[in-house]
Amino acid sequence: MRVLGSLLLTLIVLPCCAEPARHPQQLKSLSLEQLGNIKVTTFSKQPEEVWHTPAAIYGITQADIRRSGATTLPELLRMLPGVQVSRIQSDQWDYRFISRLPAQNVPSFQAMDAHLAWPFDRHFTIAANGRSLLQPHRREVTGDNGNAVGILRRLYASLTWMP
Amino acid sequence: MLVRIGCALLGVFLVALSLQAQMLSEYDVEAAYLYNFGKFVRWSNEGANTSPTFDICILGQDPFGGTLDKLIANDKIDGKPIRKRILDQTAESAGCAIVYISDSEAENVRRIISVLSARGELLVSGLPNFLREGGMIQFVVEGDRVRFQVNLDTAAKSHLVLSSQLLKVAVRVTGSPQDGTVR
Repeated sequence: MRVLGSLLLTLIVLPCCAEPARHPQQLKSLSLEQLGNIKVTTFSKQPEEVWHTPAAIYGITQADIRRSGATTLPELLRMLPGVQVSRIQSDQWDYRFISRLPAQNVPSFQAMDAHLAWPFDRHFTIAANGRSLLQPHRREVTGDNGNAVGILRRLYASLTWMP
Repeated sequence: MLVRIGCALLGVFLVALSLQAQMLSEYDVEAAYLYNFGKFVRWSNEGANTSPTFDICILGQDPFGGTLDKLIANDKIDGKPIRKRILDQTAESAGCAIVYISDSEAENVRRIISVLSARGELLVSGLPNFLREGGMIQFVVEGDRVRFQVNLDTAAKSHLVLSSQLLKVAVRVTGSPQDGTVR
């Protein structure tokens, strides 16, 4: 049995916005001119990806991985707080981040980009029960059913990793 | 076969989730515009003027997800408390100051405008070609920003007086200003 190559899984959650977040209620104090200058997410376009400083770090240890029984990377991602991973087809996965919209106070799926990266090393591997978790992989999933909780938001999730 | 424990530090595995948690949607901004329009338009239709409340009506599905409710809560326009009303049909529009035609009504927009066009309500929508069909204010998304266009001719037909401040901000104004349409 191949042993887990890495003992340390460091998971960093980054807030991503093209500009500082604004609460809908803050809109009230804005003038017509200011409203016209707010950058918004729309149905037709996906939000820009901007990397900011980490907001939270989740660490998953080898022991965590063993206990979880995860045999695939999506299953590992499922261990992240708030992340929901569901299988669409045998080789297709859907990633969503569940949070509460401050204005509505209801659980909501939110757009999520997941990026996995590690230093290049030919011998580096993460494996469980003899199966490598580092399959060459690139997957992008776009969901259209943004009406999950009656809030019209397009879901966008992408997961990219290259061993 | 067995990988030594020493290889534990071979690499660090990073997962970064970038979230659009707080990003505003176009509908959040549209809701704020609707709230603001009340300050820049004067109505002459009796229904809106005699109504004890300032009614912002939504024809069709409410796309604002609670944002409009939050913005208008405990607020007044012209001394009247602002109220949101959802209309199932055009016949319910009596007393509305603003009627927002939701995206859900895209297929009925022509019929809706033909019924509402002369009732004196401010007709607003984000539907494409809304102004051409006879609407008064149409939201457009340009470069990820929500702006609006104004049709003065249809506003004049409903005897609405639009503030010049509103027209200054509009990204496009069609029709010609007639006497009393702009103040």
